[in-house]
Amino acid sequence: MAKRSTKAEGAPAARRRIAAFMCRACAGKGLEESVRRALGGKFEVDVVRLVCSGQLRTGFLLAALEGGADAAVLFACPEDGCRYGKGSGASLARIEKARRLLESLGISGGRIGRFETSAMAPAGLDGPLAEFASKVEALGALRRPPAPAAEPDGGGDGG
Amino acid sequence: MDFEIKAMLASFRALACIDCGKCTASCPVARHMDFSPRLTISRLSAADMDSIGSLRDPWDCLTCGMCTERCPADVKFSHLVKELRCKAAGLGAAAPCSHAGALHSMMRLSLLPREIGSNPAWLAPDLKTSDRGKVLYHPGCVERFDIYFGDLSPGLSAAAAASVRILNRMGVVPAVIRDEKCCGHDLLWSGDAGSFRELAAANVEAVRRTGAETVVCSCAECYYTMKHDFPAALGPVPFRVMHISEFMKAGMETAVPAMRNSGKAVTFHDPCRLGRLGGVYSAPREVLSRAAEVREMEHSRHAALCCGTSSWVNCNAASMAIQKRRLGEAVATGAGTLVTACPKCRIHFLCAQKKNEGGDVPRIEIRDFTEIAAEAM
Repeated sequence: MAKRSTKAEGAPAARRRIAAFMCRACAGKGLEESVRRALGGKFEVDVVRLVCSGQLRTGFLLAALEGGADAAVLFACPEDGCRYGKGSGASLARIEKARRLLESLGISGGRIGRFETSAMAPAGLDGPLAEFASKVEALGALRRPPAPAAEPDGGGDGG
Repeated sequence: MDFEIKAMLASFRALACIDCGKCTASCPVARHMDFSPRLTISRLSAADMDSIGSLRDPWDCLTCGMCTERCPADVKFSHLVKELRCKAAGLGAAAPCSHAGALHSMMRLSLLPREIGSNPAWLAPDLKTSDRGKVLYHPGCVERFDIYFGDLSPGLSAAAAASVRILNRMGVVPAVIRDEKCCGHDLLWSGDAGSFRELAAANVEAVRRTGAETVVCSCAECYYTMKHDFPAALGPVPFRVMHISEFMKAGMETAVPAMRNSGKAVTFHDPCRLGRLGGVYSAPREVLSRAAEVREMEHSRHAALCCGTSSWVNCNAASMAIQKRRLGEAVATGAGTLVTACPKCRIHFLCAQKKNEGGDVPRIEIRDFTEIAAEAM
């Protein structure tokens, strides 16, 4: 299972990360390049390609944050342009659910982004992406405090 | 036999297994798929510690405790499974989490420091609560489950509000932790003992800050976890834990106002963590019988059927078959409402009814114990 790393005090700061989920239908090479260009100055970008944005589960977004990303972002086709019909719309609902869950946990829903784009017209994302990156940067790193020293037994109750 | 495995089997009395097969005969999962507690123990006896990560059996178990209930040798199979899962996860095995692991991630994320503050959404304005007090109410993850399972409209937040309403009517203004965390039940029972221990420690510290001497839970799993698994992981905790039905029963003659019996027929589903594992059977029935007519299902109390899924692990065809069977038992009582005391039982039954696989899933209203009790007060 995914675990957030806990860095020792005084260790060099890890580069901040954003998980970028991309629908394959709208994510040509141009999109990945433009995302890395827009975000790469501030964040390390981990790209996850999906057959359709409708494959994105709420759990993927939460796992990305849990696994060390400071934010997660989805690139989906326009709602009325999904080649599988309802995929893009379904992803919109899951993004909203993830945001609400985070807010209920005291974590800003602003750490989850969603952008509609098209392989035919990937331009025009630079501005919105830069704005998203600035917002995430302002929120600060999503890090857990240093864990207490581990105890030898894993915590099963032994009976 | 691997010495480490032998020690583990011994600590859960599994070496006392007499191969009678009562466990498999009573196991709700074994009716629907190739699973047997007895054979699991047998396979474990021949395994070595390094290979347990690849065993499928521990993940098929519901940990409902039915096998232990029937076992003449008192083998603690559910607890053995919990331990096995923790060991397997430590060896890198991944729990077959349902919902793409969203609920387990959510529970681990609740460990992070809050960057935005807000009052719990379930805390209705008419409820009287405090930041400190001798009695603390712990609602569990109801707010987050209401968000995640919004399509089922489970209404769990209303049950949390009903709990505080009950306490208020008993003259108690409970402390409520504004940034309360998950108790960690599902993480522990799906093998993540490390995160469970962190959540347990955070919860104990948060309760300690309120000055509470009694923690009241409306969720059966929070109740069992805080009462039994917190002390097992951390040592003695500075508070006692009561299920709200026990708290009401204890104050029935002195603090609980007269309850109006609606005369409606209800049937009570014993959650595994409250009943077989927690040993609480009579308190919810005594309270409910003052609010409604309580009818028993074919399998109730010690023999109650599980709701079909546990710890958000392995929701499959067997789960659905068990849910269908249990809902059928509820309908057969002639009651109009199935009452439970576990938010997850409620979610699983609602989900089964919504999916309606095969088109013959029995229909019955499903409500929380606290809602029925609060309405009668």
